[in-house]
Amino acid sequence: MLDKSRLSLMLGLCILATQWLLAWYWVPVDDAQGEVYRIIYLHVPAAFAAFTSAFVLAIASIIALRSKTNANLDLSKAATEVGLMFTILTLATGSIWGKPTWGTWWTWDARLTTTFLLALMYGGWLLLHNATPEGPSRVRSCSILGLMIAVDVPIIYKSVTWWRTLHQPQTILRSGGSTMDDDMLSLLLAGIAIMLFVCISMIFVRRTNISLERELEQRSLGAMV
Amino acid sequence: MAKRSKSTAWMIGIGVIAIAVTAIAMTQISSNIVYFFTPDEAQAKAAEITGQNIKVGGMVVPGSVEWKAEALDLAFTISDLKGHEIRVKHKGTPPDMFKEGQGVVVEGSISNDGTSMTSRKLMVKHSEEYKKPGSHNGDLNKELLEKSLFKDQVPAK
Repeated sequence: MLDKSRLSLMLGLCILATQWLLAWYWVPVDDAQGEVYRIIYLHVPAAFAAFTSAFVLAIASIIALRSKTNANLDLSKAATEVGLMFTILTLATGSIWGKPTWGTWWTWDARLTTTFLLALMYGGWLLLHNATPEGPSRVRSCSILGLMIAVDVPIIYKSVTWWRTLHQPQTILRSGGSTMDDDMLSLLLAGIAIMLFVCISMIFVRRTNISLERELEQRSLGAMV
Repeated sequence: MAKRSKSTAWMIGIGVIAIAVTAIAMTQISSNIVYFFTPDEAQAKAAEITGQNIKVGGMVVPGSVEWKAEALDLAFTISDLKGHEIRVKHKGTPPDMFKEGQGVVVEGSISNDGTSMTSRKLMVKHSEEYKKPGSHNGDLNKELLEKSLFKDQVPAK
């Protein structure tokens, strides 16, 4: 049962484990924060994976909206599930990081609020998908919601430059170059690349399963009739 | 026909959810567009907002921190580096990253004349700079914090 997406997911998870070991033992501590900053190597890649899932969801939604006949939401559902997981991971790691450094688990600044909204909307998509019967109206409504979710991502990303926040501004993609030492930056960029690979692999593995599930349901329904 | 009305109902449902989500987002975000006041802004409207629970962000003035460990009494001055300063009284241990020259967001109430604040919650706003020990650049850190804290400060009239 080892198809390509499964193999690439396993490979990705192995490289991810290596990156985590480097994050724990190889990369230097941060001068201002000490050891606790190492959670950045999980927090930031997880956030980028949550954003990428929304991007996949947007593409899948457009495809589903355009191909009216036989359209299914397998890819959208897979992207939403994976996206929700990564958004929760982002919120959780951010919260754990915020307590020792900011002095609070949570605050309603623009960055945190818009990220929380992303988690709610991913959850809402799954509820909507679950609550509607299969058919063109489900494809339409879920796809529209999928596009709305994707709109939140650039808002989250720019929130720290648009509004006053407790959350610090971007470290990597900023004018004037990165504000991180080279060793730290290269490991973080590697972490993001690996996490995106893992994220995409997860989405495709999940899509295969969702499609199989749906086909099995249809066949057993056909056999009953 | 029944099918048609069902899908219409769903479309309306989605519309309502969309509007609700947007509305919540807008109110939640707009009340947090000003997540904190700068010392300048807080002082300008101190008489109006005194007694309310507000947030003020600023830099901890070097040499201004007084810490009485046994009583858990902390006092320090926050500044916008443009001459507006507020003396803050806080009860309790500050976050680990609290220090002189650091960015902070203080939640609490401001005095009528805008010169002092009683803090209920003290949060650290650190910069996006990550450096290995020994290569820290104090000036860059200050510059980043200043930029992030006071980026859209409206000059008081």
